[in-house]
Amino acid sequence: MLNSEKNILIIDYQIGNVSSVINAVKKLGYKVKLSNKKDEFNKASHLILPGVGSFEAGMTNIVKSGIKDIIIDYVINKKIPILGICLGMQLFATEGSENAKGNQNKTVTKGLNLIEGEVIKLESKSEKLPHIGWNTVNFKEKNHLNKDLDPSRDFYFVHSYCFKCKNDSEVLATTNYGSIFTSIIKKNNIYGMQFHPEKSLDKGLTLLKNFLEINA
Amino acid sequence: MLKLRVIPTLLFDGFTLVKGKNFASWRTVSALIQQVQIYVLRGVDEMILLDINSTNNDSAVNHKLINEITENIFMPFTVGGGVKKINDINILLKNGADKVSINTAAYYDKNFIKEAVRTFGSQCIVISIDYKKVNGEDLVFTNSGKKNTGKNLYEYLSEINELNIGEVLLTSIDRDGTMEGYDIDVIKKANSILKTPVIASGGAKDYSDMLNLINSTKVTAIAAASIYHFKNQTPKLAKIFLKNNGIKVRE
Repeated sequence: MLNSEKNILIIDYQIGNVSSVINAVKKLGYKVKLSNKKDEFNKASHLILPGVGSFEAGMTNIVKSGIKDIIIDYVINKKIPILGICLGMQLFATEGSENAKGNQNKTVTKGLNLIEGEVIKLESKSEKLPHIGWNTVNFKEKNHLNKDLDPSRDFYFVHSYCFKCKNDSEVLATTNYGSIFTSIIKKNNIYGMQFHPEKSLDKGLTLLKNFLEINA
Repeated sequence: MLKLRVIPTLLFDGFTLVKGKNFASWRTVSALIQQVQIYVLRGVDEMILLDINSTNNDSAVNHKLINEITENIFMPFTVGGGVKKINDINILLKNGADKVSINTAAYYDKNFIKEAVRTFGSQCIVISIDYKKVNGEDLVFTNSGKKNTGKNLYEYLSEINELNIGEVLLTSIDRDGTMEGYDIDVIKKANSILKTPVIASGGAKDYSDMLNLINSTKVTAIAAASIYHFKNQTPKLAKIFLKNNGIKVRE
């Protein structure tokens, strides 16, 4: 499939800044749409689930928009490649736990369960949270996603929670901030990046391009 | 490992980029769009744009301009100036800002910040604080440095710790634009009080001053403006100097 024939759908669930993701995909020469309508899923060659903020708010919005089952159907049954960015990646997990406002009780929210695992607070010792800034992403292996990148590169992070994968084989890259956490996950057609490729200058755009070049 | 962030601050007066001294005697320095492009070429890690007239003109920073700037820039971009409503933040984020910096409204309305964090997530919300020494005490100033709140800086920082925000941009009014060196003692104390990352700002003198600041305070982000505008210094050369002196920077 030619790039110009691909339709990239950025899933709209009313959370965070999506303009930079839209601009980045456009810059790479693809047609892009921001929507949560079923016929747009139908036309899509690739899905992107962006987002920043809390797990609970993210899932609440996905459920409210009525797209939870649609996402699962298109990703699991129709095998459409999906990329989750930051919170978007975290929502792929089985569940997320966050400290409820002002107290130590944990609230646990069910995720999309596309990749088994849980989202937990970063284990930082002396490091401050959020983890903000450029940090090294260490790829475990070379594949189509990082084919033209060095095995270690800096990308831009801004988050306080991370994805703890149940299966190590689904961890494609890790990053160190006080402790080592998962920065890229991959399972079949499902990809997730904890950092922001759309905010990581040319190397970020390279990663995004490599994802969009995957053919379903 | 996390890299040190070298951040140029862009001060906008509604027409062009300006730089002053102690938040006064503003001079025109360059056109905004061109300067942004230059910084992108010079390897900055992030940019902060503050509209210095918004608060006192009772309007939020021009979002159309933000849209124009961010359309082709794929790097972190913080925007501030006159932000006091949830919708102000919403509009700026929709137009390409990644983080919104809030100063005066954060001081007077903690509930606004709490709501902003709930709505957009802590990582979007930067509290900007301007302070000045008055009779030996570090006090918080608002309204682009025009209003003395009489509030002790460190008390304010402890209150900010309860708000679960993303980071703090801390600027010394006394050092601003002087190029006499960062206010290391205050930044060190502030960084040890705050749970969130601190962007140190005000008074950058040269690359050695930056190195000294980082080594003495352990901050992970350093902002500067005057040395980039008025001296032959660039973010790229700053990073090379810091790297040669053992600081991890993005390459």
